[in-house]
Amino acid sequence: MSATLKRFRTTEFYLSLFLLLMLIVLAVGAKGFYSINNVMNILNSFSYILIAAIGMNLIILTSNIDVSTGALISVVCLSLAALGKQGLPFGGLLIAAILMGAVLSTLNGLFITRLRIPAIVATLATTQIFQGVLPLVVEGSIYDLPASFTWLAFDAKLFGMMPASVLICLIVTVIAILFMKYSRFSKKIYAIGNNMHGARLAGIGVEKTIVLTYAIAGALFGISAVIIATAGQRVTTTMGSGLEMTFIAAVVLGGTSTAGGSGKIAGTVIGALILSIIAPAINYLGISQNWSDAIKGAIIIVSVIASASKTIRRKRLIQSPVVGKSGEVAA
Amino acid sequence: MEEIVLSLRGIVKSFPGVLALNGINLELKSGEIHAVCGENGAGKSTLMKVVCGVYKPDSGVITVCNESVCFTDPMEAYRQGVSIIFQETSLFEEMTVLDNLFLGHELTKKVGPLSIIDYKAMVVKAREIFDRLHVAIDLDALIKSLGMAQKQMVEIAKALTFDARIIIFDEPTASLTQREVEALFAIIRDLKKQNLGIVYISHRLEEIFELCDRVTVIRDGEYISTKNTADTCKDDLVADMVGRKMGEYYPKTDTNVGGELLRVEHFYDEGFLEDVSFHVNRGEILGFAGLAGAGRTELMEALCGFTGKAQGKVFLEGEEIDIQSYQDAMAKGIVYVSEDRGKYGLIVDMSIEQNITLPQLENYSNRGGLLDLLKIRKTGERFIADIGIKAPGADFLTTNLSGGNQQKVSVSKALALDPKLLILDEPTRGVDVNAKAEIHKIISQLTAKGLTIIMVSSELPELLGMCDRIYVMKDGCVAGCFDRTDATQEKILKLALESRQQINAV
Repeated sequence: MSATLKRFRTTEFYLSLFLLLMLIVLAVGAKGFYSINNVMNILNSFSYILIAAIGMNLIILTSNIDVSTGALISVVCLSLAALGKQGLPFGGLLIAAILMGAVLSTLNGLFITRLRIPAIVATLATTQIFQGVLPLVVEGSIYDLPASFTWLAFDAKLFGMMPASVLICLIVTVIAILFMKYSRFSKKIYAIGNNMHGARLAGIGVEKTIVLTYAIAGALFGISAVIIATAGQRVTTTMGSGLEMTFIAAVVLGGTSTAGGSGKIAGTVIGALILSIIAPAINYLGISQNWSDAIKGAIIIVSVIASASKTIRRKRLIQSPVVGKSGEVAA
Repeated sequence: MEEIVLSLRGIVKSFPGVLALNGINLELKSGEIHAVCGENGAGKSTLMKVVCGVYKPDSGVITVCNESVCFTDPMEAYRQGVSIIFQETSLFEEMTVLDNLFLGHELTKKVGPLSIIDYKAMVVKAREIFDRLHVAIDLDALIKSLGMAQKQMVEIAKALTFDARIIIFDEPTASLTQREVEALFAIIRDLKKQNLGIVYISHRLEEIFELCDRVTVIRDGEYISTKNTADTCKDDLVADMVGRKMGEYYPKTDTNVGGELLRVEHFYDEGFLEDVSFHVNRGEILGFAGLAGAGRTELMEALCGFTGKAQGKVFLEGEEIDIQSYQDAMAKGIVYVSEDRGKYGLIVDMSIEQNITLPQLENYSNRGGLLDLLKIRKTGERFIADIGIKAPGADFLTTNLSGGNQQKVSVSKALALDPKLLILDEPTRGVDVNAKAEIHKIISQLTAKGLTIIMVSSELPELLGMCDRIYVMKDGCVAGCFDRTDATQEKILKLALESRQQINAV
């Protein structure tokens, strides 16, 4: 294989092929899948999945995880509804969501770095906290939200039909891609995910970087929550539940290593697109909706195995560290 | 024009229970290649970590270009022109060469209010540095796609992105081929011509004489000597490195050595072992000496079936046996006690009795498949008494035991399997002097009862004191074998240090 070809055959390349195949199958086998209404719906869910998945990608790149995202989004959604009921316009909702998301996610970051709780445990705990706080603050759902609240979903159409959430998503994605390429901060994220000890030796403030990463991701979760909350006149307490799995799936499917340190935004974009298509695709193919999660799971397993098989190297069962006289591991 | 670029005075560094460095002095001139050598664990790497701020010295003065410094992390040292190239590369595998070169000090430019990474400037500077090193490496390649030698070039280039005045190499040739070593030496000589001060840590004597101007020897954390390489010879250096008196505490009893118990023929494991053959006789203590990374542990792991990929033949009591896994080895009576008891030897959150019986719980179950706790307790108590584990009871958690007693539990676990051959990998590492003596006594008692023991150790006095025969390993090969009667520290160390060509020539 020539070098150029090799460079071309990336995870993103194979994912795009898979996506293309999916789209062709749907064109042939699913009548009505390409109806404008359906495509616009898919674009809307793609938007909020991708925005949050980009945040999740940052977190996973540092070899951490966040399983509280769904609960966090539920909290933000409901708070937005409470604010929206008072007539707060979209701009205000967006800013409020970004701030709330960032603050709540920063909590996760602080638990992980300050209290040294493993990310999965810390975010499981905050999931319970977020879910537990909701019924204390509001009783059930919030109904009959004003038109100012649903402005994004019903009034702000691009070209008269495309949901405006796509524009938000596009802006976020472009900024994210530029950020990952040109910011010094992104290099720190990759470095930490690659080799935390090495990052420390390179003078990187590992804890600070992780907290900031959670904060940035939280802001993105907030943006995603705005799109989810403002989709209708009713906001329930479980708007976000289970979404974290979709976001994590999009990131993993997009080729980001769960061990951290490698993965691109481009992959996440394709991963998010595939995941936003699966549920409606199943519907249009006439398969029972109950299969949706199982198929999502199967796709993830296959993609993870495929990407792992590329990188599996010979690993010794027992590695023998060179231990110095004092018992510390010599570098 | 020579000036002193780095000077260390009276560096002391202790870790809990160990005095790692005790008053080390070193003086590095510009345009000099200064070797630091010493045995495994002499404190070479610790010293360099103190210099670049990984460890904080307890006392002592470090001056760089006549300015007293105390770095808090290697990045700060880098910024001040002191670069260290660690044994294990500190590169980021999934990132590009370019990103690695400038990580933490990326070149930036202003775009409006934002300061963004200036890839163009970085590429220009990186090219310039690689040209200076006369190497060509694709700047966009991921580090994981590079070979060891190339990674090292990246490390050197990284040092140069900081305008280093001092570069410390910590055993840079450990994983390089001969040709790569020559290329590296050419680069180091080049850097010397550019008036950099270079510290070269190695225990390969021939490299030191080939490359270095002066050599400082440290031993057991103490400063021993500094000499011009032109005025000294290998034997002198070895004498300085060894210089230790054999302790009195090796209660070697005469063993009753019988016929051959186990023979290993042509063991090969790519990258770790190259055609290793040896045999061990019934009732003897067989020692394996060698430097860290010589392949001793790898050999024992291969023999016990941990790696599963080694090729070669193993004969036990004259019959060829096939060991695919450690279960196979245990079934044949070959039992291994790991060098890292915290990681592989014990489950420290389990009790003594649970640890000892863990590998053979099927023998401690009743017919219904339930554990026979009474039997487990009795076994635990038996070993506590027999081996002399100092603990209040068999249900005591091993995490609360001292290092020496933990090691005794490890050994007990192996003995509970009633082995024919017991392999002890660094049995006295990290235990105090008294516990060491006790463990040696236990080993002697075991062989007196007819057990055969293979002992891997980095402490030559221990091997010389305990073993009947000693194999010396080097670069994954057996470099030689000594009988108890004619083995000396000097002979073994010299063999362990010689390069491969010289061995072949012998």
